[in-house]
Amino acid sequence: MFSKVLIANRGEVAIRIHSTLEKLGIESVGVYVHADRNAPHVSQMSESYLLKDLQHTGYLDIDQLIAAALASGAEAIHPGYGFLAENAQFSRACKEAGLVFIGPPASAMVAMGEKISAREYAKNAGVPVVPGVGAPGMSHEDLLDACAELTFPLLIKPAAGGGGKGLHVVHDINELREKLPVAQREAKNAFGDESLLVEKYLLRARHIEFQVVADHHGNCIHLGERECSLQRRHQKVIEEAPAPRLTQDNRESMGEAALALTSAIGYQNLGTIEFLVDADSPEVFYFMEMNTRLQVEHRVTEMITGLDLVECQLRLAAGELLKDVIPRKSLRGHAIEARIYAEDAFNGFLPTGGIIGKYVGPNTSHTVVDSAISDGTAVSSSFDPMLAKIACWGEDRSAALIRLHDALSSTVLLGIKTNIDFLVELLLRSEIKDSHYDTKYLETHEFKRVVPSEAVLLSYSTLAAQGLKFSPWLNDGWRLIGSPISTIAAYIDGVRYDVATLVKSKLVVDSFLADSEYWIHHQSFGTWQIKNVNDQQVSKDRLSDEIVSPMPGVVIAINVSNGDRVKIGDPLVVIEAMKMEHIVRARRAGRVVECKVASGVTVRVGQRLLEVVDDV
Amino acid sequence: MSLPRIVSAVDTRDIGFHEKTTAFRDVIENFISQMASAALGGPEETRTRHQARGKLLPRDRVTHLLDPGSPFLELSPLAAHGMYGDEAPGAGLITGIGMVSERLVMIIANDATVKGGTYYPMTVKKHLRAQEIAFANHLPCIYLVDSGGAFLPLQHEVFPDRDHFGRIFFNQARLSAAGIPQISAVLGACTAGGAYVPAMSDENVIVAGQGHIFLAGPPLVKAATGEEVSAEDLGGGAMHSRVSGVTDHLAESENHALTIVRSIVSTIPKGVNWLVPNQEVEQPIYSDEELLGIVPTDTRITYDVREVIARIVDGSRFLEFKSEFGATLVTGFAHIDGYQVGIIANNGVLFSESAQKGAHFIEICDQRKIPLIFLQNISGFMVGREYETGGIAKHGAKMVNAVACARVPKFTVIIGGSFGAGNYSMCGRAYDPRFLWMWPNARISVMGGEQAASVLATVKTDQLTARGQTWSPEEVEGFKDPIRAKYETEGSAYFSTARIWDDGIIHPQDTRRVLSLALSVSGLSPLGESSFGIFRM
Repeated sequence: MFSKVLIANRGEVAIRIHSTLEKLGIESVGVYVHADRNAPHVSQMSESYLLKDLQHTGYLDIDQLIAAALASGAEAIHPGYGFLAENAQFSRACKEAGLVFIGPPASAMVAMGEKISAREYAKNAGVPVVPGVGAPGMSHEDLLDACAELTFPLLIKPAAGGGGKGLHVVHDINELREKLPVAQREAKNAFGDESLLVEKYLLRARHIEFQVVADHHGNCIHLGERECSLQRRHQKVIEEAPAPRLTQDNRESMGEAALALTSAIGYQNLGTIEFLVDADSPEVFYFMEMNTRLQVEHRVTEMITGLDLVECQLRLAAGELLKDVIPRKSLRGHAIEARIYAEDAFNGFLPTGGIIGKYVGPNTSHTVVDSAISDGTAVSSSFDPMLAKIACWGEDRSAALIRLHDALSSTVLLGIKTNIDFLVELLLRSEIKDSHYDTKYLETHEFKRVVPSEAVLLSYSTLAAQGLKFSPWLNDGWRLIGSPISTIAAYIDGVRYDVATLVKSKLVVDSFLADSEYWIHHQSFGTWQIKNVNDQQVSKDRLSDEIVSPMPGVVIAINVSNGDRVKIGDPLVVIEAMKMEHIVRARRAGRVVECKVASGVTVRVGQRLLEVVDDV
Repeated sequence: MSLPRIVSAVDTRDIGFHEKTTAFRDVIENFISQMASAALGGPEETRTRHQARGKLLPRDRVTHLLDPGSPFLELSPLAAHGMYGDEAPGAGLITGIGMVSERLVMIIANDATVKGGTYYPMTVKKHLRAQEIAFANHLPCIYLVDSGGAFLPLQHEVFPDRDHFGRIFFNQARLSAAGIPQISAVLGACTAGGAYVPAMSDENVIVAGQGHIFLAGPPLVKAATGEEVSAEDLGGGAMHSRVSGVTDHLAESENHALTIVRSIVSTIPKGVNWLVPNQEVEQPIYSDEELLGIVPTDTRITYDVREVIARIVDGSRFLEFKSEFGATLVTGFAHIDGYQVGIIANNGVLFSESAQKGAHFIEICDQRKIPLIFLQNISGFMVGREYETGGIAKHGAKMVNAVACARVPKFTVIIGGSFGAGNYSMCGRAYDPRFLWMWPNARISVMGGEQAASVLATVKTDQLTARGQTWSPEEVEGFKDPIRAKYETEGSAYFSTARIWDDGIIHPQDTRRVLSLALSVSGLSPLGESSFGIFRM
């Protein structure tokens, strides 16, 4: 076994790996970029190396990571997930430097890393694949022609992609023609490879994946499946194990297929084989892709198997036999995980950002939290929007669901908008309880937050709470003349309410005040952002319309310049943020003035981009 | 350790209680209607025109400025009541204390619907009083300016004297020097003297296209030099913010201006309040509604003032000091909303013993830094040979001296009569209480109307007798009637509050609340050191 391992990652996964290393008595070495110098993953490790970085690319800099590992005397590198976890070049570089890369051999990564070749391997191993076209070097015209034999809708995927990035669903030939160049550009920007794969898009599918484990001696098993059908923007939100509606027969045939592919490519270490299952006929399944790394959602498998998968990775990488690492496989109970994202889930899952004012994790039992946040953590668009994940175990699915619901409700995370309340509401839906959903469920169903009258009470108990000690100056708007001001306006989650003045509330809430915004949390009512109406900036809608950036990100295109005439809906600026291109459109007709941004510029949320004024 | 509770002896089923309640309700009804009509501001037509220009009424401005839910402790809302042909409700100025960006501030807002926000003599007095309170309590001042300057027809009562218009700017400079921020928002005209309010402020905001600051407006400029210039070019927000530098922030609208003011206030360090509640709040166990059945509207009728205290203080708990001595003055310790206070309340005419007890108690509270609350219902010091020979003048002087020199915040509520030297020993206006309020039934004059009429009639009788003349009882009554009438009018709470001899008339049931608000304001200014121990009188 190793005595020192470098963790080539940041955030919660770095901490997760560190905890296993610590348990096994292995020294951890951390790395960080300047922006992360105060991050928890740095403070928890006794030895950390600064990566010189420009634009947060430090964690992707193979040379620097290898140098740090060598300097520290580490024998192995754990890549975590994301960044270089599935980068064959990194794996090779480790080998060349005499370091063990904790993961599969580079060959397996290459085989599975690119979607077109992965399809071929799967086909050859007898695993069903989704009908589709795509080969390296095909131009978008070639693809367009080749797609003639497929039936719409289709899904365009970057061959080198992953994590839902750069995916496009198209419904007809025109849309396909329009989106292919966009997808190619995105693929090239994001992955350095513009190859695309176009596949039949399953209208109603479920995402079920198998956890496989292989040693360096040709042995492999699977540890059951996980269902991750609840997604938005092709990113997983809820993951569970086992999959609730999978029959034993299907489970067996999918498991066999997973192991067949694992063996066929000579896979080693931990991997995940993802399948799409037809929601209407569950016996039909297709190979989707293989993730050659630890998965974000590995906790749910750990909870039902009792294993520490990072420990398995380390021991397998050290050459141990599978039967020693996992002497007996037994699955027990049910586990569900929810990912907490910095996003406005009730408003199209738009990314949010800011500074975490207060964070208190859940208070439930049988709960595992992976997070790298604490009070004061800045959440920016530079890194993944996932703030934390909470996994809960129960004797059966309903017990696990209830526990996760309680865990999320008791989690206090104030200062930025998160999807916690969305998740809490989601878990109460009958479709979730009955497991009647597919991968598009979150994006095709209406989710609207109901403001309880208690929110009103909450808002004022917060106003009261922030004084901590009693003050006669709080709350009821008393006046010497006439009756007190009977209502006061407040913005609750951005919506104006005229609410009755207090009734002093006895509700105990967690609260946080930042920039005249009150953030409050109550276990039963969730988290609310309350803004004093008197502090609301007035909109300048008299003559002009100011166009501001809807989120923090980078300007990648400007379609207009000063003096241009625009009409409602015209695209003005394209901003890339959180893996997505956001088109900012004109909200009124007029003439563009004060256009001050340039392509490549990083913008803040709310930053003024340009103005549209009356065309006079 | 909890203080003992007052056991009320009031029988709310008693017929006398109901009669008193009914009588007091009439007084309250009149009070509320006077307040409501003054609160409207200028004539309806003017208000409509003001709003039609997209401007907020001053009360709405105040509400927009305050933190949501903040109370507003308004001062002298009935200033100028019955004066100037009743053309200046509230003297055309709204002043008061409220919470802005979590800081207690003094707000001084012109009411442009009252004669263009011009300054009547009482407007000046009200403005100066607000600044005085700000000084005493270290409250940042926020001026919401919308005023045409001095009310010209009364310039002789507004302009030249020490406590006239010029004092406003003198105060601004001195307040600022004392570290008390001066902030103004120019929401309308700031002409002539008015221009100095923003100019003398530490930081100010002006509304584009709406706020104007100039020493002389366009008509006067034309008359003086022949120059023709628009108000906007002469003193508009854009010019002052970009060219002259008279203003610091240019706002898009009134709401925007008020938001900017809020953000300015948020940059002021929070003051240290040495006066903090030292126990949990406990509501009085007796209803404050019963005050109306306890306190007679006729100041000549006596009652036990402990019944009033029981309905104001926390848990109706009151630890009496020297209860067996000088019984016509009730002194003791209590809490209001958790703030410890010393209460001094009249329970009859002041004797030498009562005055000695009062002086002693004031010294104790001052030494312990406990604020003092005076509940005034005093017809005066006892008169007569026995008392004069007993030295009542010197004993009374002790209490007056103690009141004058006490460092702790003092609050006076005139709940009944306030006559003669009793007013002084009970911390009348001349003794600088931080605040002084009256109940609507209260009366204030050098002596009662009947006494004054009798005294004057006796003097006249003496003069007539000296000349060998007499007058008939009818003639005596005819002489006394106008004196009684004059005292009746001039002794009323409304006459007092119109002239700002007090800080406003309050509803008796608001007493606890008002005192609590005032107490929480009063600890922001530090106390000096005391240099004597406590004298046993």
